[in-house]
Amino acid sequence: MPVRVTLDVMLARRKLRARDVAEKIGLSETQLSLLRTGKVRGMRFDTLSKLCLVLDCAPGDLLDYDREDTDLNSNQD
Amino acid sequence: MSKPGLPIAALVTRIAVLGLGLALFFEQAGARQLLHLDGSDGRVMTTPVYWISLLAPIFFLGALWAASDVFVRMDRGDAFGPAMVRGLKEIGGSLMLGAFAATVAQPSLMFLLGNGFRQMRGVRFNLDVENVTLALVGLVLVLLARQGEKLKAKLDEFV
Repeated sequence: MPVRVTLDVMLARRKLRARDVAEKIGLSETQLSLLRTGKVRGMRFDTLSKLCLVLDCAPGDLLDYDREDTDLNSNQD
Repeated sequence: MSKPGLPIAALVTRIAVLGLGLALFFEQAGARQLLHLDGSDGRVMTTPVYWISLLAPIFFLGALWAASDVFVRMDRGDAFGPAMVRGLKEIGGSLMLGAFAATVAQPSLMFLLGNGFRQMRGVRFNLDVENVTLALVGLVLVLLARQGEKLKAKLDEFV
C-alpha cells in the first residue's frame, strides 16, 4: 500500500518507547507494532488523534504517501 | 465489569421457555389421553407418537433459550464477537431444525408409525406457512451472523 505509517520516525524524534505510547493511547503493544510495520488495513481517527496528542505532532507527520498511478483502480473492499 | 444477575429480557424469556415447555408437555399428554388417540390408557408418555409430536416445539424452545443467552451477552455489553455470532447461529439453526421437524420429520415419522413401518417409501410433508416462514427467518439469521462475522474481522484490521 502506498500510504506508509512513519510512526517509528516520530518515536525516535520524541525519544519515546513504543510500549509507553501504546499504554498512553490504550492500544496493545501488538496492535501498535502492527501499525508501525504497516500490517493493518487502516487507522481509526481517534487512534490517530491520540497518537498526535501523545507525540505532539500532526497527522501528516505520522503518514506518508508514495505515489502510485494504479491507486485509482484499487479495490475498495 | 459484569453486572450481577440476569437481565429482565433474558429472565422473562427463560421463564417463558420453562412455562411453555411444561404446558406443552402436559397439553400433549392430556389431549392425547382425552381423545384416546394412542389407545394407551394413561401411558401416553411412553408412546413414540407423543415424543414425535414434541420434536419441533423442543427445537423452537431451544431457539428461545439461545435468544435469552444473546440477551445476557447484550446486557453484559459484549461486543459483536464470536460468542454473539454463535448465539445468533444457534437461534437460526434451532429455528431451521424445528421447522424441518414440523414440515418433514414429524409427518413422515407419524406416517411410518401409522402403518407400522410396513410401507417405508416416500416422504410426507406438512407445508404450513408458519413453519416455512420460521425456517427462512432462521436461515436469514444464520446468514446475517456470517456476514457480521466477516464485517467484524474486517473491522478488526483497523487499529
